[in-house]
Amino acid sequence: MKYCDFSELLSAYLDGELEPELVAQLEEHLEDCAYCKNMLEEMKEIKYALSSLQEVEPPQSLHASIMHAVNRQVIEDQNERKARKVAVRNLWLKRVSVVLAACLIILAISPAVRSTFFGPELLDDYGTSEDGQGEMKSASEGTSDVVLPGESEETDSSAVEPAPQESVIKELAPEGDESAQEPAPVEEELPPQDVQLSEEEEKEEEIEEEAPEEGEFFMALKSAPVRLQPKEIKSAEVTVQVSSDVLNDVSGEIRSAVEEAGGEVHLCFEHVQPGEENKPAFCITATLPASALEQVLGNLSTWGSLVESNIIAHDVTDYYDFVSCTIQNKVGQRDKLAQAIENATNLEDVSVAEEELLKLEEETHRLRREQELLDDLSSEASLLLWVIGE
Amino acid sequence: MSSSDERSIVDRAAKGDVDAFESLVKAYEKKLYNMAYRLVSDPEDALDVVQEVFLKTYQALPNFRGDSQFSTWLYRVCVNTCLDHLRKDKKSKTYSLDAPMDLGDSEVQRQVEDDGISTEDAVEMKSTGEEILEIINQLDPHYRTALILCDVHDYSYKEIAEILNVSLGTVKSRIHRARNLVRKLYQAEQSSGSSVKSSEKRGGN
Repeated sequence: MKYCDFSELLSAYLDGELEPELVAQLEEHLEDCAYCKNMLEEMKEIKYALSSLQEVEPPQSLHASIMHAVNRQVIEDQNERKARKVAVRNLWLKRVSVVLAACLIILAISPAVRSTFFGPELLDDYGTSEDGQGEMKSASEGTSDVVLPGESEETDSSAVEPAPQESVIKELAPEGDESAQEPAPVEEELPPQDVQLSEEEEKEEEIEEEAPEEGEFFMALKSAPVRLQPKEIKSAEVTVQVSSDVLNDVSGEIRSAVEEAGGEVHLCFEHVQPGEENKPAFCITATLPASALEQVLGNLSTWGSLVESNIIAHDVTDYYDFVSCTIQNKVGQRDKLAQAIENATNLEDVSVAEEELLKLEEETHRLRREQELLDDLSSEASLLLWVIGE
Repeated sequence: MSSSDERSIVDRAAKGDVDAFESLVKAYEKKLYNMAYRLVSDPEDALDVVQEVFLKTYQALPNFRGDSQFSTWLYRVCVNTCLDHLRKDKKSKTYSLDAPMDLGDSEVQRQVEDDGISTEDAVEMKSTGEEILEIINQLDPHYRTALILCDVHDYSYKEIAEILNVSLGTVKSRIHRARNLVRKLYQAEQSSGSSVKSSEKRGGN
């Protein structure tokens, strides 16, 4: 039997999807064309057989297994959030307690300082520094007033070394040089942070408060050099435009590229904005090791044109800033302790302060190593990231 | 569930309300399971797919912009997950003609052409629909998906176009080509499988 062009319309006709003006034409044609008639019958048979397939009953375990997976995910998300929060809080608490200890030592050992601390300057400091960075400078000037004896020599702290503590101080000196330049402002940051901390404890479970932080963080990224640890990039959202004929294939290609790179695809779907049907876009959300990001992005560009890549690194730069801030703060504390030791009259106080000093120093070393690591990796990451924003 | 109800449930779920999400699961799990089952043609795999679909949906819900209906979006995630599954599966399991057929208690090797002897019993236990599904399984996944969504799940071309995110024309041509191909393969199977199912009406071909 000879092939007939009309047969191309048969499926749509069968499905009731044929344009009305063609229906009459086709029906008329069907009267005479055995080829089409026959083909329509066979197609009908197929359609009928498929549509009469019974709906299958899902296994009873289906609902439970879905919810189990979802709940596990919820718990994982919560744990991750909590762990992050607790880690930050613990560090702050540590910081605060060390500073408090340092203050106590200073108060205990130096009557002159004690009198200064109970003076009006201290209250004034707290008031002004809460108002924000603009006030920071005047606040820090306040501090230099607070610790009167030896403060002027503090900037070249290596010069101030009384005999009994010589060995300890010498070890600390090299690091003190660079960081001793800015201990005062950091010290002044503490009180407002302390206030924030207690607020944070009150609304511990409120996750929303993370949002503005992130916003600030993105703003910071735009203006400041990107400082990110590639490993910490949480997710990459990449939008690529591809032509519609390869759209379906690309979905799979990207998936395997991400998976081969050791990443995980969370969502992968084609997205077309209404009214832009001719402009298919492909959107993928995936977590992938930053080391593979470049490669994956490279692959994407071979399939289509990269419209936008939005790499969200949730908290690394935050963390970097936090580490730097903590280091500065610790150095400030260290210098205060050193000074306290210097001014101490009681030997027991000296040994307590020395112990505190060593701990501080260890902590600072660890933080510096972390900071260095972040620094090293940041140059690499900044190559990969060029668009950041919500 | 009306569409405005659903919208508000979706919004709640997007904000992390697990109960709201569970009601979406309840509303769609059976439908998705059936869709996945017909597309990947394996109950275990279908279970995995549906689980994956809901997990992905849960994670991606905050990004759901509501440009399309939630159900369409969900079906799209499901179809893509199935396609993905099939692609991965292709490496280990080809849809060759000697894939074992699950016949409940016993498993038989599917045999085509070489001997028309043991096939008939197996064939007879299946409905024509199941037979045809098996033929469909040999098609390219994109054709298979279009035809199954149309004939098994009874979606309109427009809905299929939305789910697959392709044009109406593409849907039309995929369905037609798929159906035509199935028709030919089915005929071939019928004429080779032979005596039991007489094909008088196809005598003319």
